[in-house]
Amino acid sequence: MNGYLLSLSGGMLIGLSAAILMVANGRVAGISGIAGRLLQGRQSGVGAAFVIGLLLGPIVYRALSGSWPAVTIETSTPLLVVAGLLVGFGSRMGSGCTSGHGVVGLARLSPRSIAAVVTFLATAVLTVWLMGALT
Amino acid sequence: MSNLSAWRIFAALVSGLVFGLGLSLSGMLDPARVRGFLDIAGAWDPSLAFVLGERWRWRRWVISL
Repeated sequence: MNGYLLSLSGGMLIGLSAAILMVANGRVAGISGIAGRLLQGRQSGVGAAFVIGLLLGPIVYRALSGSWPAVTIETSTPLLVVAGLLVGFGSRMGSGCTSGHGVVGLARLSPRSIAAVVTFLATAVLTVWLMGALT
Repeated sequence: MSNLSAWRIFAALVSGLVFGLGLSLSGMLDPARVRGFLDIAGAWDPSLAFVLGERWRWRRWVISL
């Protein structure tokens, strides 16, 4: 299938998922927040169920399509560790990540989320450009 | 466990599953694809913009309920 069509369908599913969580539980589908509360041990069964479903996603995808989703990692492990720490720190500091701010916050036209998304997209574009220029 | 909380946990499981399927299908699980989307000065791959756009449309629909 066409790459754009796949992205469109994937985006529809992600939006549908956030909608289900909002309608059924009144919760924002913010993955960093849900995972963070889960690791701190202050999360209800709802958060745990969401994360379990999330992890089942690629397994069901494999069962349906016959192959795992593509994952290409070219970055060295030390750099990945640094990047992971920065992502974790930044998403806590910014009270959300791509899912909470990018999916739910943007759709609710939350000014805080718009600021967060503009900032992290711009920083990410700049980082990709810098890393490309350095290596 | 009451019926309501069982239903809520089930809905969260389905929501997570649909999210995971969406990530798998859209290619957002692939760091190389995400980097391609961010690499506007290089070989830009704009397809992930469709993921963002479509997510947005759904959420607008829910708010209108």
